[in-house]
Amino acid sequence: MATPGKPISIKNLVKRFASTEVLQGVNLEVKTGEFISILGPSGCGKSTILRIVAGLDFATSGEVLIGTKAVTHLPAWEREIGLVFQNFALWPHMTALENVAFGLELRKLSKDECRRRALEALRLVQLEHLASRYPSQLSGGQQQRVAIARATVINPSVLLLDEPLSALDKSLRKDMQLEIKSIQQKLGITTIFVTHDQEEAMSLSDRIVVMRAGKIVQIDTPERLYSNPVDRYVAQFVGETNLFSGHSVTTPEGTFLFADGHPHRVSSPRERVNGGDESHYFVRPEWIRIERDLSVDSGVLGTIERKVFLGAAVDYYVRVGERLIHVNTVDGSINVGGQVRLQFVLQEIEG
Amino acid sequence: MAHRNQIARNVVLVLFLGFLLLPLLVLVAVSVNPQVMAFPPRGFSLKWYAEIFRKEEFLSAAYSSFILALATSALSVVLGVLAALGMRKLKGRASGVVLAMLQSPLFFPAVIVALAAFQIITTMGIEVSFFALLMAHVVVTMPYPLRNVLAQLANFDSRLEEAAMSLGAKPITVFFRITLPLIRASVIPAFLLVFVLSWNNYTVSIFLAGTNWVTLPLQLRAYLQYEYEPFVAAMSTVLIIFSAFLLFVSERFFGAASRGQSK
Amino acid sequence: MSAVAHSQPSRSAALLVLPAYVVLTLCFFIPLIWIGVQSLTDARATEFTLSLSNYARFFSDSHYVAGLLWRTVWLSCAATLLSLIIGYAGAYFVTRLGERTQSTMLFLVMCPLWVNLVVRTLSLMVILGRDGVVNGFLVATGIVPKPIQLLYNDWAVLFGMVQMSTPFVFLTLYGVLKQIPNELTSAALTVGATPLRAFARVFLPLSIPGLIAAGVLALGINMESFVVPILLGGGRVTFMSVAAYEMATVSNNLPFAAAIGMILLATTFLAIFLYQWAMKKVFLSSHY
Repeated sequence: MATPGKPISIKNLVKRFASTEVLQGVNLEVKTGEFISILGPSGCGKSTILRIVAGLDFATSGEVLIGTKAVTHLPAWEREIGLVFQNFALWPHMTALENVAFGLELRKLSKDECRRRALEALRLVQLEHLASRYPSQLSGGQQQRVAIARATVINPSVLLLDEPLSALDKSLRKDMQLEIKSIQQKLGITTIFVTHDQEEAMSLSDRIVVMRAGKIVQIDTPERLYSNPVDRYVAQFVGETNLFSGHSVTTPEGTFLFADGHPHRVSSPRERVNGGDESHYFVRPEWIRIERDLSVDSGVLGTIERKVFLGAAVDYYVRVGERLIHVNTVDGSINVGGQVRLQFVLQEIEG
Repeated sequence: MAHRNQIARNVVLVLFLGFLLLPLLVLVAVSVNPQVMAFPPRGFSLKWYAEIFRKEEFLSAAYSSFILALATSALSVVLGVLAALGMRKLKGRASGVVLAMLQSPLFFPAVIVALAAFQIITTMGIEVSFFALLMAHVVVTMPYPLRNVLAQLANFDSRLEEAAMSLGAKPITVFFRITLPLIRASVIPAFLLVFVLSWNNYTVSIFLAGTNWVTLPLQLRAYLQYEYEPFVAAMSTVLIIFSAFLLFVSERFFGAASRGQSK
Repeated sequence: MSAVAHSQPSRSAALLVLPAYVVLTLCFFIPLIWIGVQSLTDARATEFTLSLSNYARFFSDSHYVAGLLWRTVWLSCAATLLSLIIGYAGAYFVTRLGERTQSTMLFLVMCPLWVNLVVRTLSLMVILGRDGVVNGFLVATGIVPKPIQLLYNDWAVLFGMVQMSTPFVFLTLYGVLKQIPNELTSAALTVGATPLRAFARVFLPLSIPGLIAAGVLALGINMESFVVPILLGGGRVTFMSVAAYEMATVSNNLPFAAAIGMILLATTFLAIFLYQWAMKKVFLSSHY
């Protein structure tokens, strides 16, 4: 019954508004059935891309294709899309059932058929029993589920979600994330999910598109994005990180970066000419090992300056010279003021 | 300290309301006076009210006013709502200019509009008097629904319309199934307001008094000349009750939206 | 923003605004210009020539200028001032009430607005008339030996105008005053200001924009008064609008009537402009 999703192709999208270039030549290919997130801070253009794909905004230049069909100049109601908004956008003068059935009614199905399918969509999101309620009588999470049902019941080729969970409480957000993902996988719809929350993007997506100021910075799987950021912006945006800069020196014992008066070992994946432009390195807080035995030779010496209890783990901020190194570990027994040795290897950020 | 403030507050408010409403209440009191003169009234009688319905001119004037008001409301509201919806899409300076222009009748003395209507009739003949009257009323009242609907639209989430479009609804469908039902709260009070404005209008209508269209306010004034005071008072009371009722309906069911307030 | 055709929301916008615009142009702007042109013709002229004779006649006759125009202006300004004071007091205290009471108050104040002005003015005639309430009271208590003439003079008209415009002023001010957060006045109290000072230095200045808007509204309404002067003035109080009416219908001199209308229009705009300018100059100088 469900039409399989279609691939999306975005070619060289430019959007100029007043005198600013909101989108500066965006290229993106989304495979059929893929769940991708567009991640970035407010104003980076991620919502603009979504609206252009939806047909609610039009690009200054560039193309959008859904499947093999160029939809660049088609208005929203002629594209086969489903759209879920941040504030749900449920029509207050219609019940949940009527909201969901609306799209079906437009497709000239019989009243009974519309009702049947709408109820089924609501069943899929476990809201069948609230079908005759009005949006004002539903909680935030319930409203969002109705919005999802409304968008998916018409069997769109593409599902677009614009920060759909930002308006919900944290605990509710996690549950909704799982629900959205499971619905998407069950229906196999190509999905673009816009968010500014990197945790959310990482937990849901097949691939993530990181954006900044109208440009795509990196497109990769969550794992690769996390361990191989293409620049400092991505390294900092996706997860916590410690950043280092400088010139590394290659010696027979290995490659090292001198910082804060200490040599830091650098994993050296490629040949380096000593000298030249500064390089950037990073290490994730959970990759750092804390050695409590100070007599051990390896690792830099530091003092615990701050300790933040997170529940499942602990954040330590360790003073090493001028720098405060952020370490994340399960062992919460070290006190502030204590001295430890930090063992880690720096990873180079390669663009 | 606060108690003293409360007393001051209540005194001021009583005086304020009294200033605005007492005259009307006096009128009502006069209308039930069996005798023609003398205030305070001695006794109670509804005979003047019975008189009203025997007056042919009154009933025909009421009918004229009603038809005119109905036509004015329909036309004025349709034009105003359409303009408000259109203005929503205009940005920046363009919308400011259009708004100023569409609201300009509010700033012009009603006499001018009346003179213009009068002019039209004298040159084109009495046959066009209803039309001229209607147009004059529409011109004078249209800014009101425009402002009311515009105020409500300011708070209107366009994503509600976008959601419908994303599901495949063409703009016409969106208008009738989504937009219109949702602005109903400001359209209906606007309709009532325009109805009342037209119903009560004197300034424009008097200029056209020589024609077949004698509206109720005109008739009322004429009665002042040769009818007894309590009779006119009774007629006035009927009008007061009618107006208060319309206002009550507007406020009760549509609350703040009727004032064009969205806050 | 909603898309209709490819990036052309302005086309559909223009289409929606068009009917109103057309009606307004045909039935208001064009007649307006026509009236303006009419005012430049002479009723006695046999052929169509433009002349300022009407205006010359108006301004050269002190009866018109001093008696008619000046009376209109001064009564309107006085009425506006009084209604601003009364309306402000009313609005201020209503905002001090509980929410539900406020709604009731609003309804009560709006009642007069929805009642026919002829009726409202009539009620004043009843009160101020020879056998009216006021006279009845005065005679009964012996303050005056016999009923005094309260109607058909400037004061009666003034009273009527104030009564008419106060609800408008109230509604405008109410909207503005309600928006001023209570915390601002409270903050002044906490740093040592007396309630009076807090009101004068914090609340009042913040309500100036409201006073400007309300004053403009009241000035406009009062200057174009027609019903009130005609009923309460009894022919003895001439007002611009009334004069225009009489010129057009009784004297059959439409051009002159048009001229009067134009002069009224210009005077109204001038008065409003001066009022706004003065208010802003005196009260708003650097802050806004």
